[in-house]
Amino acid sequence: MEKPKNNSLVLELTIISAESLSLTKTRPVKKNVFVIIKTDSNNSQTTTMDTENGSYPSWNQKFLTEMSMHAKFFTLEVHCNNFSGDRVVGSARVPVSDFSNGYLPSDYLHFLSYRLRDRYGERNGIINLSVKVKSSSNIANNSISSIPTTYSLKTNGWNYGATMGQNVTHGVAIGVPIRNRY
Amino acid sequence: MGGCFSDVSGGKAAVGGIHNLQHQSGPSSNVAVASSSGTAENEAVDFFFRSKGLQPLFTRIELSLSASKLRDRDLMSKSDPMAVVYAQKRNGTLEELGRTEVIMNSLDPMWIQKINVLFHFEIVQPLIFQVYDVDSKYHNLSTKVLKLNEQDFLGEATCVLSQIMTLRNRSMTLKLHGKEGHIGDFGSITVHAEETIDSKIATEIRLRCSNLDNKDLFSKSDPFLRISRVVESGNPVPICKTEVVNNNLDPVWKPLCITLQQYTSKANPLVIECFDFNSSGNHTLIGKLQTSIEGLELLYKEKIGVNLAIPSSRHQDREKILKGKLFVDGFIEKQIYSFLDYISSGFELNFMVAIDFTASNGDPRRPDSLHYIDPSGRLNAYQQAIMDVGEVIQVYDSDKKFPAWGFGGRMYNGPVSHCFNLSGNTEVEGVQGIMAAYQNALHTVSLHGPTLFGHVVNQAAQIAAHSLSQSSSKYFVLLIITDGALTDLQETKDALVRASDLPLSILIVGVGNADFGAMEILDADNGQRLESSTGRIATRDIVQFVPIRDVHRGDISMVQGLLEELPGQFLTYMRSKGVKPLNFDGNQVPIPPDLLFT
Repeated sequence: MEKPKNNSLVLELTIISAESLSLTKTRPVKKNVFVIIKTDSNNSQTTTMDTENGSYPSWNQKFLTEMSMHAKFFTLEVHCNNFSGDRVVGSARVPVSDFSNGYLPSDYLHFLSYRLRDRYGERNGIINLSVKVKSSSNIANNSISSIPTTYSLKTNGWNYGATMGQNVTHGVAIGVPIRNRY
Repeated sequence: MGGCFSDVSGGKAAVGGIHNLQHQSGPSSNVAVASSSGTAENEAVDFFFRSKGLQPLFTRIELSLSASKLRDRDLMSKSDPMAVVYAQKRNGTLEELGRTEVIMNSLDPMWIQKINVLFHFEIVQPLIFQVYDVDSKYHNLSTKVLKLNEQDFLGEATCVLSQIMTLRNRSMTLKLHGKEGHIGDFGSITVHAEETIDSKIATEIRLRCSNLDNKDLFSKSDPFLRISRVVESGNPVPICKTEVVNNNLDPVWKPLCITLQQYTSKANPLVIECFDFNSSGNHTLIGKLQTSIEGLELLYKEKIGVNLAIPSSRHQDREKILKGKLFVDGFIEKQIYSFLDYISSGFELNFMVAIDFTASNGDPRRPDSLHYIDPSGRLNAYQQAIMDVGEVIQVYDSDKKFPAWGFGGRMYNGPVSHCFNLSGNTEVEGVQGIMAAYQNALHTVSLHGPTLFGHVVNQAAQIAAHSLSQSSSKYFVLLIITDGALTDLQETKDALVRASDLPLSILIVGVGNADFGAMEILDADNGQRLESSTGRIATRDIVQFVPIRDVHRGDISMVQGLLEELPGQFLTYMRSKGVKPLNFDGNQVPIPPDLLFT
């Protein structure tokens, strides 16, 4: 069997922007906002700090993130850095089912938005992101026998990715080179 | 038209550029834009009439508005004016043609947002221009949703479109007067009319300045650029402005996208003015220069800056050259694809129909039921809606085969179904096919409840998602005809939010006289994005609601009502996914004759 480390999903995440963030009911966020992406308790990535757009920060920053095949969601935390230190403005959970849905092509670029909630569970703004599943690494491992689906080779530019077909026609898999940009 | 926000942060936003949709999902009040969906909608309506063999006998006109010496209605500051243009119809009713953005603290505003009008040569077209002072508490709202009776009226003026068109410089200054012809010192409004050029070419420019003069006392300048096109006669027409960069003498602005429509030709002189933003509305000119798109391209290629100048205070005709320079960091020409570019290059719109079979419509055997089949052949509300809507939408469906479903009905001796086929086949042929299947289903299905849209929305979403694995050139439209008494609003919202990232739009046509409050919530035109029970937010607005009683009252035509948001929703989807029209070589692809005359 495969090593658990390989049993993962590689995502191309773009943290686009957030909307109407506030510190208290009446005080909007002024500046210094960033997002932490947490796929599990050990793995996290951070965006740059937005200093210009106040309570409507925008980042448009791309990340390659690996997460476990068994994980049900990843978490986004919007932080604000002000004179009193670093605080969480709001967070949201992104369920895996929202971007790896059986009916859609697996390389579909999903645009998703979520309601952010602060630590008391109160609504505090919206976060916009896009997610693309780059590969599930057990496809790249040529484990022919274990996956009864067909693979079609799809080339778009420099990225070679594997696309899962919808129908089970024949059990042949093609070894697909995966070029991961870390 | 895009929202033009006018609070301080809104006043600092860019106006007039074509919005880069690549990384913008969903409405964001951060950026104010002049979206091209307004023209796309006209284009779709136009296409419908042409498909019926009607030749358009009109020219597209763009009105630029400016005013001077307006009344001051604000106590502490100056008025924040916005202009609204109406066409007076023959029966005296007014049809709103468009609104400009709100300009803050100005009694002599020059609006950038243009108003599109169709000029019919043979008809007298009276136009009414009204100017309002928008109260600051409405400043974070999009101008589209402002209620005019809550705003302060600053005056109005009337003229006939052909009057402007026959003038040599196509500019006309009208004295504003009060309501009921009240004459006084209301100031004046100037209307400049120009034919619009249909063009898909746009230029994306990245501009920056260096070493600007400091105009603020305690901090640095807050610069923004305004680009105006020089016209043969009269004042330059402002075409766009950038966002404000705070407290910076070496500002870098976000890419600006100007269409050929806006700059007319590459050689046409443009005036670029750099201002220091002041929240009082009295922006200080830092410097300006005259160039053209050609000139900007040259600056980009040679990677050199050009000095700004400022009119000398002592000599009227001399300019003082400043040390501040303008640089062009990026210059890309690109194509802006329109709704018709996609449709005519082989993109397909696929319609699906779902009809409300719930008991709230009334017993179909009684004449007061919305489902009553009149033996005399008079159409009931649903039949009327199918005929009216079907006629419009089938033009855009290439195979004219529609999946037709019902919801909220109980099958013969079976359970209640929230999504069942109206006929034995999964698809029916043409509008007549829907009509036949509908009548047939009324005999076999008994009306029941509750009213749930979720199942039909999910079914449509599944079809749309499934088609993506084969091709990306299909877009789906689910038409729901309902009396509007929705049982579970949250369930419907959940389904809509899940479907919002798919190539799918949902048109809801309301029949009867029920309360359509829930439908208006789903339409989300008030800027509130739909939120699911799990906290996911709709990526974009995919719902359009049209109550048929509005149509019959003559407020809007069926074609306009239905096609108002669809082209915009289609384009938002295609642009966000980076999908381009098929085999697009840059030239106008002729519409195949079979699409034109069917």
